Amino acid sequence: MKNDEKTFEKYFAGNMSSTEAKAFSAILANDKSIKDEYDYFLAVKKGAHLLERDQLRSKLAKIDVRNEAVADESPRKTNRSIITIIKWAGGIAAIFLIAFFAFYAPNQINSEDLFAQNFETYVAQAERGSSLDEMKEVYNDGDYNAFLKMTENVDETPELQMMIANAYMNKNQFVEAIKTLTKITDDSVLRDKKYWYLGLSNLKIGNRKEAIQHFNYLLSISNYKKTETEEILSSIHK
Amino acid sequence: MQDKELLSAIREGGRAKRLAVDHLFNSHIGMMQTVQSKLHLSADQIKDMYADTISATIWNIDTNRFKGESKLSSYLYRILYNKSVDLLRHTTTNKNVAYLELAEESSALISEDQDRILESSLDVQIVKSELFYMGNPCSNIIMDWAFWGYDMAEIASRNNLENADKAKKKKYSCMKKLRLLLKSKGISDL
Repeated sequence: MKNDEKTFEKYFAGNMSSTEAKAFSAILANDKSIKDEYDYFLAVKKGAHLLERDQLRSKLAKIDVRNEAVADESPRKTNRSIITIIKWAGGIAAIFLIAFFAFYAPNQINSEDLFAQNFETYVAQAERGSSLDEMKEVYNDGDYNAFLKMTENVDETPELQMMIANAYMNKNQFVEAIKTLTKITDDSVLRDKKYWYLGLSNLKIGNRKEAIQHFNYLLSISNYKKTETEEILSSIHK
Repeated sequence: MQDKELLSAIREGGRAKRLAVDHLFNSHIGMMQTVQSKLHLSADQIKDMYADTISATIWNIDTNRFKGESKLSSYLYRILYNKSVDLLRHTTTNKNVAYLELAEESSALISEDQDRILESSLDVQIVKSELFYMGNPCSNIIMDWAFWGYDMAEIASRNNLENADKAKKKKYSCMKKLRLLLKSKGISDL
């Protein structure tokens, strides 16, 4: 194991050339003692990944995903309703429903997917000795309820406003997020991010016109998220 | 942090990996809600799926299966969505519900989810448990090496050992101890 470990790491991390990898595979196929060592190496790596996954699960236990809000609009209930309507209204209603969904559903799914694929929570930068440090830690840990409580009666700096807006976005409170984002002044270093998140928030709640305005404005003032912004605009216009 | 930087930090290991994993985890939390509302999962289910997604992604980056061909957020979203669909398939009693039928569209992408390899083996679950219950410093040292990829000097300083050489010896004895624990659980072929 000792001397083989570097080779194992290289093979495991996919850092061998194809010739080296083939040669090592042949060794594994023919030398049982090396194969046993590699299997043990791999089992420990996998076990360590699973253990870390458990840590992530514990970390997530604190986070509120807003399950209650979602439960009221559950697809099961919606589907049951649709089925009932179809039964009662017959074929004409079914045709009407199909036409309705064909027209609206693609846009709705597209906006949600675009948001989900592009939304990344703003990560607060730690500064030693800063009065915001504790808040930043709670925020970066994803405990948004506790974070928002801590921000009550605190003077809002642009960074704090950005964090508050992102906390609201994570809590699915996009109107609050938009209100907070608009407070960030345009002379702040967070100006570009402000328009990016304004675009995304509006996209998420279906305000396409506003989303387009924010994304277009962002393109006109900065290169921040240029490719992503262009891709979103092009998808919205499809 | 850009995707390229994040991938390279994860593959670099050590402190860089720790920061990158935190960033990966924190910056995509909002995805849970989107997938949850689409597929009607409980809060606990979506959280489990999200943890699995992050773990699978780290594994795929560590093993060079994911090289950044697609945008990381799109990649994560696909894995989270596919895993959630898969969970629905196993848990739902009415396979005909419309949302599950819609979700079937994504089944072709499920092969991307490499961490099935991780979870498939009972032996690996036992390795995980033994690694946890063997306690410190061995548990920390093995995690620092096997998951976080710290070098021996860093492992020494993180675990109050004098130097890299001492850390290397300690890691060796911990690995030996773990192997014995596994053998005592009937896993003799490791």
